[in-house]
Amino acid sequence: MKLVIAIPSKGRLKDQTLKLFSDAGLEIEEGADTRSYQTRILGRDDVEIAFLSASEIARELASGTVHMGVTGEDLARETIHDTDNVVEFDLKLGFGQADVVVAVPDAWIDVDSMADLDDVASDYRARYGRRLRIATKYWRLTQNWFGQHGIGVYRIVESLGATEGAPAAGSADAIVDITSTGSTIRANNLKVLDDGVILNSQANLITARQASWNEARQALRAEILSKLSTCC
Amino acid sequence: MLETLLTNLRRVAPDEAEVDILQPADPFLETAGEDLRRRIFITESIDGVVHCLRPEFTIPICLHHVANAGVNRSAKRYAYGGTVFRQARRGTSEFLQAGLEDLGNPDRVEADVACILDLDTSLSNTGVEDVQIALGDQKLFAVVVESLQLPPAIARRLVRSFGAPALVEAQIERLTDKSVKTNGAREAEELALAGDVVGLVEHVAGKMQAANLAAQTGRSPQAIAERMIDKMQESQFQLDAKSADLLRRYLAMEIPMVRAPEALKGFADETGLTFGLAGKEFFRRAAAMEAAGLDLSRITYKASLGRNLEYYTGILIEASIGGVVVAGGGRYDRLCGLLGSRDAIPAVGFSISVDRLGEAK
Repeated sequence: MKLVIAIPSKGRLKDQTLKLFSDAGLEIEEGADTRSYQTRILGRDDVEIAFLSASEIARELASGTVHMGVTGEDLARETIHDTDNVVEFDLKLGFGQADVVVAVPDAWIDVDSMADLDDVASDYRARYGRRLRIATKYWRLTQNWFGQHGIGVYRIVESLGATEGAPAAGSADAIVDITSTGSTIRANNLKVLDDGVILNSQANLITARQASWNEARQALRAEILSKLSTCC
Repeated sequence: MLETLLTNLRRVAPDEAEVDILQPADPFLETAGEDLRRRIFITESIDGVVHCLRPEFTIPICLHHVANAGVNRSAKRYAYGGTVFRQARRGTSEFLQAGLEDLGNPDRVEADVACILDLDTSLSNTGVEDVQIALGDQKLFAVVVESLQLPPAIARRLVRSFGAPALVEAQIERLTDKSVKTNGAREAEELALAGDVVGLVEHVAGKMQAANLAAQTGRSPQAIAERMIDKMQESQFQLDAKSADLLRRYLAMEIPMVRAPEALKGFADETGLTFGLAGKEFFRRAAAMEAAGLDLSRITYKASLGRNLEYYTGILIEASIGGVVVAGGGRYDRLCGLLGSRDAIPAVGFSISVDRLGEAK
């Protein structure tokens, strides 16, 4: 039985993962058929590589159907309940950096912190007849973060794309979204709260604790980790 | 056990409200907030309406009351009992609850005392012994805060956090902090410090226009400017050690109910504050509790006991056996308003965790 490692199937995350593995002496065979979702590491038949989307990888890690995977910490923490007991974050890979942040309209000159947002949320309904709305695709991260700051009275509006445009579109008042340089946030006349960085995310090599592990696979895992860790 | 409780409760609360297991989720999320979503079971119907499995009875019963009380706003007492559904870390997600809602009685003291008495009687009729009852009072805390004459926003925030001791303490800590708080938006700060509302409104309106933000759908330049000015005043405010001490000492009070009125009077005399109407209500309630035959030796006044939910407005009740909380309740005069009632409806009630009661027995 092989050790199954899931890696992103497209985009920069894929390219950077392939390069990292290659630098570490673990060349991933892409094969002639580029539509193939399964491949191996050149010269080894004890490791299977599965190409999946980054969010699928998080789900597969949660269910333990792959042993290890490369995906963003943001997706892992958003997708996997009780994250740290279900998976282990083995290695930060040094690419795919992005922050999950709370951002409000730049025009809200009186709001700089979560405490300010709490104030604003608390009488939103009394003033405007509805709750403060937060657009995000990060339900879990938002609920945990707002909960930690004692903010309960708000509503999440699900947003699956162009979240930063939600306040101008009138579909939400503020957002929780991912940003790498902050330029999209600024371009949309939004600002990140001083204590509004929920997570500094980047691509991680992650182990599924609930996958089927035995001694041989544990040894393989240790070998791969040690090779990769010299390159990132 | 559930049957015994229900039979007893129906005797003192004869009104009925049917509460379906499948409930529209919106009223729960609107009142208790998004935070509740993590703790309940949500499901969506084919037409996109979000439902949830009944997580409690109070909100559905209040909705029923608001919809049916109609023209003759008569006071009603509803008894309820059945399964509620909550996300649990481990074990079952189904719990048995029984309880009572007293809606529309304008005599708050009378309704409060009846509620405490009915809770105590319901519990003891199931054969349990040594029921301890803790009472909190949201209004008294609000009076204590008011007496400190804090900037309004700070006072509101403290009252809002009542019932969450860690949040209250964090605020006291922050307010006594001497370090300067500033937010770096210089132009806005200068306008705010100068109290220049007009200039500030213009400044904000300009920013909103640049961002294509419609002022009609949310916070207006006026509201933002006003809060900015409040905030600048607050940032220059520092809570003195005496006031911080007074707050902490008040919240630490935990006294047997028999001695509570006397202790509160002593606290007022010593600190120079007046409990006013809220105090009068407290003293009347204490006397009425005794007159109703409640065993005051099993009741404790606990000043920090509250719920940091905006609709709680008065007493908070917690019943425990051997340190395990088996029932909770209180007064929530703002709940029916949140659920769409145009008139304020006085509301008090409690809910018994039948499972925990069974274990305690």
